[in-house]
Amino acid sequence: MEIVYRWLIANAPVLDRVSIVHGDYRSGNFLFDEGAGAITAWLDWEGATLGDRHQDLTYATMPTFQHLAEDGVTPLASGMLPVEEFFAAYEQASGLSVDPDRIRYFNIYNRYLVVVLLLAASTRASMHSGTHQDVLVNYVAGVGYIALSDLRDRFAECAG
Amino acid sequence: MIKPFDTQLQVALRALNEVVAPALTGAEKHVVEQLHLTIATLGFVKERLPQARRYYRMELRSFLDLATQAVTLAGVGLADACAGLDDCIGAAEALLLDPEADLPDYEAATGALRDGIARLSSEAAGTPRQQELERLILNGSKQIIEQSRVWCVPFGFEPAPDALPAAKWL
Repeated sequence: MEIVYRWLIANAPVLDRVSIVHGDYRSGNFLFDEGAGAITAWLDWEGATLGDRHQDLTYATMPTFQHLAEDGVTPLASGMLPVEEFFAAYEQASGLSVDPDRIRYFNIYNRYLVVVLLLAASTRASMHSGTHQDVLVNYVAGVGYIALSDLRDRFAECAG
Repeated sequence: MIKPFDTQLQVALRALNEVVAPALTGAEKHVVEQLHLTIATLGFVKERLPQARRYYRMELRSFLDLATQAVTLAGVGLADACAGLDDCIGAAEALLLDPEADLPDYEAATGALRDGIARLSSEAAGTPRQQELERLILNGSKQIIEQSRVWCVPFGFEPAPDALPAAKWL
């Protein structure tokens, strides 16, 4: 984690445009009106900040939130559509570009964030009886080493 | 007669599964969810408790190996940081030979080695040893993390548990 942290600081891209970043942007954090076929609200804004749009874009494509398509092979971002289609749809809807270098950076950034949340924050919260759902928070921390393994593997590829 | 932990967990789990859970039919979802998570947590403890000493000793040995390699690599150029880690290595080696050592002792020694390796890595930043040391730590951490994943398999989150390496502590 120390090594990845240094890399994140050293390689942070200069912000090209300030965006509202949700911070936990994925399926499960919005309300959907099936009749209207539209998202009606976004939930869980406690990680929101002003920052780089690529943070949310990569977060939604994290393996933790993926499902495979019916072919059993193609990963679907947040269980909804293939990653490349997701980025293309974003570009079309927003008129903003998706920069592969920033995607690469925030792929590491978000993995680091998730590991901290699972193995540090969740563990500490449950250890100190910090929530009304300690048993849930403690249990979810069981995903932490899968996330850490994913971070290590992706970082090893990325850092060469 | 003092009951084994396994028996005590078994009776608690049976009561929760067969008596408490059916009585909560129709209860608030939040309550039922917490019950099932409690059952699953106790199930994890029941499965892993008999292996805990072997697991923590294996984990300590893995960090000991990595720390020893890191000190060898960092060498005289980072003497101060290496000296601190050397102390942790000596303490860990002594602990593994101590028949009275208990689980919290292993956890503390592992934590000290982990912190010492991280400190050494920070000290090496910007030196000619940085890249080689980072590569060593990244490579060495792979099997340590994989074993942690194997340990956590009973939580039920692994998408393909059979694809993980065998448990080294058994």
